[in-house]
Amino acid sequence: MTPLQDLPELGVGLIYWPRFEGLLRLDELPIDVIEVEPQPFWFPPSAPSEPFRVDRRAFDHLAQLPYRKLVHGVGFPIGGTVAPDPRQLEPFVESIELLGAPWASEHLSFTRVRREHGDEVDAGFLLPPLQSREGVAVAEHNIGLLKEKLPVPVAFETGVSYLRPRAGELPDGAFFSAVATAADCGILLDLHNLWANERNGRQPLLEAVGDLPLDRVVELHLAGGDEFEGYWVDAHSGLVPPELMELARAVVPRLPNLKAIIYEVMPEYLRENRISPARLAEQFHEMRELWDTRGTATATRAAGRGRPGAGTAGLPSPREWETAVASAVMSGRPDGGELADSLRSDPGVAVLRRLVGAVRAGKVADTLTLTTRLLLLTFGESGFRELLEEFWDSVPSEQMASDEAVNFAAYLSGTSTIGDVEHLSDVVRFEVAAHEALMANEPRTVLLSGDPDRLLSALRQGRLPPALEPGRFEVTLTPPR
Amino acid sequence: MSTEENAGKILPVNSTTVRVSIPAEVAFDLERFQSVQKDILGRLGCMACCSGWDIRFELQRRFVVDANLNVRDHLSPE
Repeated sequence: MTPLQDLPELGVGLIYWPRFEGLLRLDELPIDVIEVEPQPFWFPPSAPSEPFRVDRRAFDHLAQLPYRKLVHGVGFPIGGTVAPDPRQLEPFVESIELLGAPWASEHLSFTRVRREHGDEVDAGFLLPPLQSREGVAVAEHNIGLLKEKLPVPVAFETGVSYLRPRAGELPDGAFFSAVATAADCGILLDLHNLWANERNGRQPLLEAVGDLPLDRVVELHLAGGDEFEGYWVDAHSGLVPPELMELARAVVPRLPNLKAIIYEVMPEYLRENRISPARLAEQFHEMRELWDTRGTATATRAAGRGRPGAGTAGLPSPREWETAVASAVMSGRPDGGELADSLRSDPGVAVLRRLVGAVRAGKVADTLTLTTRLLLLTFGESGFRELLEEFWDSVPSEQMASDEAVNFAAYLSGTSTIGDVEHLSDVVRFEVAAHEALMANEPRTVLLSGDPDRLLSALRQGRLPPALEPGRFEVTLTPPR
Repeated sequence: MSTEENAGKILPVNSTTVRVSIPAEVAFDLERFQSVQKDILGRLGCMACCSGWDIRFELQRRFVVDANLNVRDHLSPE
């Protein structure tokens, strides 16, 4: 395995989304590298025990982009007691190999919890692990598994936490340091996460960075965020705030093995916040200047203090913690014991609940867009939100958006809503069949009761469909050529 | 959705059934049909690495028009 210091220097870049290509010219941006989150470009397994399936159309497209590529996992964070999903490891390795990534990263968080009767459930969001000695051991174990399976070095991302620090927990920087040292791995230093932590009452960024073994930092993430209910959230919604860029100027010279600086922004926010390609290019020039300072002030101690001596006795076990956090955050799960009850008094939990709801609503809106519009037009926002909340109370989140869509479609079909809303049954059937056609790359046929052209045209324009003559329409959905 | 845009073909099969062929991408409400391939990719898999506010539902909410056909907002390309 290549030692961290011998990894190639890739330069500056961004997390890639196909939607960028409809919004800006990538070749006009001064970037060297793109980072790919591979799981959005996978399909669910064809059988429960089978691995997830790489969408070869997406990877063929990614491979032809003229940049070096990195792989950043979003499907099996390594901070929890539920081990990385073995069904994701094979396509993760395939993704790394298809893109020629020299290292790969995952999050020091958890998203899945094991319930009392043994099955696993998705919490719908990256959640913070317990920062204890046991928590370090859990992450060390998971990173060890990844190191065995992956053909390239592994780094973990320093996470965001909206929860208050708990008495007895390791400070953020000490926790990251202990995990990196125990697991003997790289660090993806997400400065925006650390800045959010500082702004939300956790350890100050520079103090946390001072606790890190800085020679293990191979990659830096920068991003913008938003104020949300009194918290600074890691929304990837804007340009890097000047204050954060200034902090980055203080940190980057202290990183002797930095190999890439990556900017994160969601394509939806480029348009929403009117971030022009010119302003984006200007920021990448700033990032290039930052890149040029890497390792120029490393005469000082590279290894962080880590403050590993602090005891973490009296804290819950990692599994107790995960169960309690998930119970406090997820809809329809009032259990979780005293710890969950105490967590519910943390205002950060209320923020997390809202964010989880937004993600679940976003998955439905993005994958069942026409169904979403029909329900919004029929019930209005509050009525549709009530419907979504009933769905969330009844059905746990799914990692894959396509699974969440199928679950919502099935949920709707079991309610009176499906019969009460004119054309809803047709629209749901149409959209689910469209997903199947895309994922199987084969045509799918559905039977609709109204003219699909008039029905779909209205919803595409954001209008309620007109009255349609009843009929019998056999609609074949064809996949992209 | 024009017939030309969605490449749909409406073929009468018999007096009661009409057979239609529509590209699956239509379900994703593409704003620019020519960028179909780029836009669809990545929408059926996992969520992004983002621990903030997901705006996708909000964008749809603003897109629809109200009962009086007043457009609240529009996502047309700038």
